[in-house]
Amino acid sequence: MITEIGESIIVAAVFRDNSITPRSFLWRRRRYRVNKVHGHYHYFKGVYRQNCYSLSCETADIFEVSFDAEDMSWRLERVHVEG
Amino acid sequence: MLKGREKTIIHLDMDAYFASVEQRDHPIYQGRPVLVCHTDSVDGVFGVVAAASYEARPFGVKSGMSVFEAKKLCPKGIYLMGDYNKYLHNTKELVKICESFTDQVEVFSIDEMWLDVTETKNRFKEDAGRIAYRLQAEIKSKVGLSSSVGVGPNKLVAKMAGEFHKPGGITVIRPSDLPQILAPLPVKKLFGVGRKMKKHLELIGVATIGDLAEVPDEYLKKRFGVVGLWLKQAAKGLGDDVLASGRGSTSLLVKSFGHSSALGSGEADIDKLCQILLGLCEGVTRRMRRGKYLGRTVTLRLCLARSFGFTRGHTLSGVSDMTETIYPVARALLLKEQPVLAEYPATLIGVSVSNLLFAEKQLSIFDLLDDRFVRLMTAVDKVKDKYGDQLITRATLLDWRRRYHGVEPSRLPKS
Repeated sequence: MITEIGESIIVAAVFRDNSITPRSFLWRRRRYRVNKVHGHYHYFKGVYRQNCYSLSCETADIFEVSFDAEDMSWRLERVHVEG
Repeated sequence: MLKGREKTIIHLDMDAYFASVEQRDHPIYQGRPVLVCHTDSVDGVFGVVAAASYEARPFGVKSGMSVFEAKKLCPKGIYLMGDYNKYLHNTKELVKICESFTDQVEVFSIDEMWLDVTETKNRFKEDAGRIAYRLQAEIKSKVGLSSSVGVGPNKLVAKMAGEFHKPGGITVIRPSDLPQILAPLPVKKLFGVGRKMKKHLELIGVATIGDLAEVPDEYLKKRFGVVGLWLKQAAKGLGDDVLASGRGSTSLLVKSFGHSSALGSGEADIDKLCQILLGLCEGVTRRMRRGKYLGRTVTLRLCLARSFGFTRGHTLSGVSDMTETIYPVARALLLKEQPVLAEYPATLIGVSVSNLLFAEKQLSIFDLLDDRFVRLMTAVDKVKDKYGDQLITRATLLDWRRRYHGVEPSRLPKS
């Protein structure tokens, strides 16, 4: 099941070797530690690069988060839940 | 072909590409029927299936089928909206890997490419099958996706070889094995033989590729023209071995630009259809200008009453990448179909521009006559490049964008 979220989140990420890797995020007052980045890609909105990630944390759920280089903001776009 | 040196072409085909990318990015969908759809919302029944995972295929679901039909056949499938930025990103990664094997890479589509590895094979004295195995393994390890690989003496045979062991297989066809392998295959397996051509060939008693290879040239030419001769060459395993490569991974080889829009239960109002068509032409020409392409053939696609579809085309006397040139042609094609539309409302409308010419901005004859639009579109493109495509649009399209695509609130940068 897919739930569209579209909310701002606070992310701790590592910027290294021209790449950004999210390590944990805070959503609705709960901290999620990123266990694995399953996939990532980027595209451009105007001149601003948008980075998108598929992440899994402690549960089997998959979180899709994005980073907007225009205002350096992170968003939780949607959550894929088993079932 | 170089004398005494046989070509070695590899055909790479990604297995259930869009669905595999989604399964890789969402492991909870692995082993389950995933259907990637081209639609505005997967909750509804509009749109078409762009890709079906191998788990979905036993249900009878295929690419190109309507979401409505697919949901009847596979109600428990995972229906996802296609994310084409994501697939294009992956394709660029694939092209980079292919280019690490040879500089002769032709991108045939978003999930298929040919590699001419003749030089790689000869220089490093490496077996073609071994190169194919390394390519497949590298794609699996770097991109995490499964692919089918075919190896042959030309593009045609390599592509056919790739079809033999799907998914995840490697098939090598050597020139000496060609007659035994190709002759017994049904003629529909031949690249270029579609449903209609298969019927025509059956009428003249051609059931297998071997049968086709035996038909006299004169008879084929009389009946099918140059296509008949081309098919006979293909039946003998002879084909084009020159790759249209050299554009690099940052700019994939493009054959046409097209946009389409599903129209829900149907639209018969010609003014609304013209408005939608204008929006589609805007999208197509914007992509053409961004890619530095000019096009000559405009094709209108209509699906009527969700049951049948057709295309109508017109070739311009010159090339263009301007909405002001492409749209009137598409509109004229649409207006000709007005009597049919009155009876059968359109459920999908699309426009594409083909017969392309890659050119660092070169003014077409249309643009030379009146360059005001060129200057205007150049300015509009600059604004869109900087602030995003949603910021500026034609006033006549505001309503269409709202109804069919939604409008993201436009934002100016903070500084």
